[in-house]
This record gives sequence, structure tokens and C-alpha cells, in this order.
Amino acid sequence: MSEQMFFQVLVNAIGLSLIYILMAMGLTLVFSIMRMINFAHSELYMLGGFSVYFLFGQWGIYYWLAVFVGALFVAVVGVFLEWAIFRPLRHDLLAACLASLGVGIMLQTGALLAFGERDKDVATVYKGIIEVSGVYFPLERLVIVVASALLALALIIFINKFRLGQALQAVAQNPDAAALVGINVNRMNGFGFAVASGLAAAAGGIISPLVYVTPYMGSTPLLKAFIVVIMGGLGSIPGAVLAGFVLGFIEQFSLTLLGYVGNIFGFLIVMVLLVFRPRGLLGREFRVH
Amino acid sequence: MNRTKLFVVLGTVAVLLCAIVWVGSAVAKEKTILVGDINPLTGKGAYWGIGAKTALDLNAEKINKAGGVTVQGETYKIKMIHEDDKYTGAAGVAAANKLIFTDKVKYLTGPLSSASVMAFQPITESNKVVLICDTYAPPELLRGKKYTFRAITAPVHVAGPFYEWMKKKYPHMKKGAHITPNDATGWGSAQGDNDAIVALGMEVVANEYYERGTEDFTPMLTRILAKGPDFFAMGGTAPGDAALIIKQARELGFKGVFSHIGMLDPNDIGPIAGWQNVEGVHSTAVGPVGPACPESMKEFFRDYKAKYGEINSFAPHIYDMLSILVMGMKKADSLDGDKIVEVLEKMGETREEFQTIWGKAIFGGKGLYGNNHQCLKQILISEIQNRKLVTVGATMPWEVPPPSVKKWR
Repeated sequence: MSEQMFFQVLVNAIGLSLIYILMAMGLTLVFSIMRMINFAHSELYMLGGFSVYFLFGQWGIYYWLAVFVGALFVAVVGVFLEWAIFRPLRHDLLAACLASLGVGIMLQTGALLAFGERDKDVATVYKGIIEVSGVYFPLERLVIVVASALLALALIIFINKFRLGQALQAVAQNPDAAALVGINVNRMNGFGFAVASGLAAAAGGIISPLVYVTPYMGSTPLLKAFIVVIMGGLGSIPGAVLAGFVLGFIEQFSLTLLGYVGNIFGFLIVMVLLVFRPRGLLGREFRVH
Repeated sequence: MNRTKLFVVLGTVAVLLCAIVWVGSAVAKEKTILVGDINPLTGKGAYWGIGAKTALDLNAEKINKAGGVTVQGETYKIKMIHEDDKYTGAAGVAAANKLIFTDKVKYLTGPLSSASVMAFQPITESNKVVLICDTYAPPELLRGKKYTFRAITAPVHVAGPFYEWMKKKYPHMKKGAHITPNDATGWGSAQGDNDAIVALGMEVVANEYYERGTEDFTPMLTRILAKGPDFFAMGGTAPGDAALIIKQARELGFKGVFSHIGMLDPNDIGPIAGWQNVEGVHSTAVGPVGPACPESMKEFFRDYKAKYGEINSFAPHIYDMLSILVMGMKKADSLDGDKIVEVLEKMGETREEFQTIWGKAIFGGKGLYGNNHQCLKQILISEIQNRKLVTVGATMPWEVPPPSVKKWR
């Protein structure tokens, strides 16, 4: 591998890692609070993509406002889903997971019926390529990297430094104890799900100019997000960040050096990790309440 | 309501229902040829599947308006029954079972998916169902199969003449890179394209496969571009994937030519890849403009647009499937599958030309398949110019593909 190629791959890896982290953060947040794996997370990501497609692509609203409004809209959808479907199933996690699968299928099919099957584009907002000694970094990807990093940082700060974030942590650690100190657990679950949904939608909206928007756009990112969440430790946001970088780097280098065979390495690592460290890189043991 | 009135009302309703059923069954029994169609109507291949459905419906409507199909003095209308295989083998089998055993069809068109057709072909062959298919599946699709014909010209027959034409236009093209999905469609495309490229004296410096659903092609492209290709061959890639490959390759500094044996509508790829990046992309897609576009194709586009509004770029590739079936029925003057097969095979043996919307065509392929069940129709080559698909060239397929230098998978 030449030096130029090495730096190109390094630059690609950083970009990819942050995209994985952005997708995984919401998923791990839902698990940490509700102990539920939300299979509809990919469709919330998809709704974020479609929101930006319509708001920015079709109606000409300023891009970042479109991302924000899209995230807000999907957060409201998340509140509704939590209240209507997942809250009644809170004491049966398997049923809740299966319900999320059903919700995902319904949202995907609904999007297919409403928006059609044709791939839809979101115009590139930041055009241009930065080239340094034969290493290329599109401006669009640089913006995504920065936005993803800022969002991840914002979530970590919110969880640790703000009362509402600390309340979420309390519910995640022990809902009964949290209730005893006056935290409304139902409200926190709804709020947490809203934040997670908004994050998924923000990820979909931010990434949409890079790819194309379809009802199926969330399938592959969800798979990668699961790997990141499991690798990092279920419910651990710092773990998701670390695992995102690990997966991103391993994938980029292995795909570049080995071709499509490199796709298996992410899965291989998760399998090996779970054998020797079932809680993941930074996960903790949890009790089902 | 008193009892007498109730009996009168119920009796009237019962008579009306019987009349409806009798008339309906009379209509259905008397003058209809049921043709089943299996294509992806949902899922990732839905754009193509819906293109196929709309093309076949348009053709059926045209045939029926022109008086239908007359066989042995009886006139029949064509009725298409569409089923969704979701681009998978399992759903393809379910669709075939339903069409053959419940709907009792004797003729099938489709599918696009190699996995689907390879899964249900044993059912159609054993039940003597004439299958006119549109898949890029490997030669095993036709080898030793009595009732299966392929209407779409497989890449192995197209790649040679296409790259021969490209090489004349771009003499500097010497090193190619092939990128395609990691499934039967992609493997078939890679084999056909790469064998042709090598046979024409060029080099394949990279041959890469990706899993469908991939959005980030940068690792693969970084690896490929390190080998210095002049052009990319993207046979088998879906339009969205092709757009991302073009966009990301340009972002990594690639300035060469992109080529695609298949359908690349500029309206699908331009907005995603960036219009400036898709200028000069060559493919076997076809548009209604250009010096090489036949009048029959222009007429197809006019009819399609009048009925559906928006053009589906896959539709022209499928339209002739029903025409071929109907041609077989008329020539055989029979609806019997064996007689239809016999007549189509004879056309292949005698090299009898027939017309399609692409221009002239023959049945051939004996050297590769052991039978002449492959439709070889004129290839139209298009280039994206100023955001439009312009048909710039025409050539005939190679009946015998170039020899394989290696297994590219």
C-alpha cells in the first residue's frame, strides 16, 4: 500500500466511523433506557432522509433547518410510537422488539406506497474536493464528519451535564429508584425515545446528500449500527463511539486491501468479542427490570 | 318488509348474481389468453419490475386494440396477471406456483431476477409452460431447457460489440475496471464484460464485487484507482449504485470514461451523481432522441409517455417479450406450448429475422446454449449529453461471445 493510498484510506475511515457512530447513538440510547432493541430505527433514519428530500430538495428550505425540522418531526413520531406501542409492552421485551419489527415494516411499506420506489436525490450542499498530495477529501464528507462529531459530543454533554440527561441516566440505571426520587419514568422513556428518533432522523438527513433516498435506505446502516452497538456494549454511548471507530477503520482497511471479502471482518470481530467479552468494549452488565 | 316482498327482493338479487357470474365466466372462458408475469414489484428491484409490468400492459393493450390474437379462427384477448417475486427465489417460486396451478397460465414472462428464475424454472419446464424471460442469468438458464426463451439480449452477446464500438470511439481506452454486485447477475456481467474487454486487446486491471445495499464505495474505488484504469465497466449495477460509484470515483479524482451494459436513465443517476459527473456516460440504455434511434423505438416512447406520463428506462427492454410470445402463437397457429416452441426454434435454425422495437432480431445462441433460445436484437448505444440520453450508435450482438480467458468470479 503506497503512502498516498494509506492516507486516503485513513481519511475515508474517519468519515465512515463518524457516520456509523451517528447511526448507532440513537439505537444505544433506546436500549439503555428501555432495554429494547428498536428494529424500526432504520425507518426513522429513512424518514429523516425523506424529510430533508422534501423540505430542502423540493421546497427549498435551508438545508440545516430542514435537517432540524426533519429530526423534530421524527422525534414527535417517536413519542407517539413509544406511547402507543412500546409503553404497553414495556414488561415484555420480546413482544416490544417484535412490535418494533412490525412498525419498521409498516413504515417502510408506507413510504414505498407514498413516495414510490424510484431512488431520490438530495442535491449536494457543499460542493468541491480538497486535494492534498493526491489524497482526496470531498467537502461534503468533511461537513458530515464535523456534524456527526458535534452531534455525538452534544449528546454526551447533554447526558452528563444537564438535569434532563442525568434523569435519563437514572432511569437507565434503575427505573424504580428513579421513580422513588420523583422522576417520571414514563415521561423519561418518551423523551429518550424522542431523542433517539431525532438522532436517527438527523443521521438520515445529514447523510442523504451523500447517498440516495429510498424506503430501503436504512437497512444496511441499521446492520452496521447493530454491530457498533453490540461491539461497544449495549447501552453505552462512549462504547458506541469507540466501536464506531473500530468498525470504520477495520472495514475501510480490509475492504481496500481485500475487496468485498473485507465485509466479513466486522461480523467476525463482534463474534470473537462476544465470546471473550460478552458485555462489549465498554458495556456494563444489566438487569432486566 | 312483508314475507312476499322479501322473497321477491332476494330472488331478484339471486338471479342478478347468477347472471353476472354466467356472463363473467362466459367472457373469461371464451376469448382470453392468460399470460402470467413474474417480476419484482416491491423491494429493491421494484423500479425495474414496475417498468416490466407497465411495458407488458402497454403491449397487451396494443395487441387487444388491434384485434387481439387470432389462432385457428378464434380471436383472443391477452390478459396479463402480474405477480411479485420481490427479487427473491422463494417469492418467485410462490408466484410461479400460484400462476401455474391456481390461475392455470400456460405462458409466463419475466422474471428479472436470476435467483427467481433459477428457483422456479424446474416448475415451468416440468409443466410445459412457455417462459419468455428477461434475466441476465448465466447460460444454464437456457442450456437443455425446452420451454425457456430469453428476450433480453444477455451481456455475453452485448459486451463484445459494445466495447468494440467504445474502443473505436475512445482509442485511448486500454485499461478497464469492472465493478458489479456480488450475485448471479453481477457474476454474469463480469464474465461477459471482462472476456470481451480482453478479447479486444484491452486489460482488466481490477474486477471488484460489492454487496447490494453498499453506499460507500470509497474503499473499493481507492483500491481500484491505485491501478490506474482508463474506464469503468459497471454492468449489472442498479442505477442508484452506479450513480454513487460515478460520484465517489470522481470525488477520488477519476477523470476517465464510465460504461454500463444495461439501463442508465440520466434522470436516475444525474441528480445523485451530479450532472457534470455523468456527462459522457455510455450505456445500452435507450432514449427517444439521437441519430441511431429507430422509428419503432420512438413510437414506443410516444405510446408509453401517453399512457404513463413518466418513462421507466427498463420498459423498452421488456416490451418485446409479449410480442415474441404472440408471434410464436400466430406462426404456430396454435396455443399449444410445444408447437409454439417448435416454431420459435425453427426461426432460429433458419435465421429468420423479425422486428422488435429495437430493430431487427433473430433467435440464436446455439454455440453457447445448445439451442437457439436467445433473442439477439440490435444493440443501441447511448451517451448522456447535456442531461439527455442520446442514442448515438447501433450494432448487432455477437452470437458467439469471445472465449473466456479465466473465471472472473
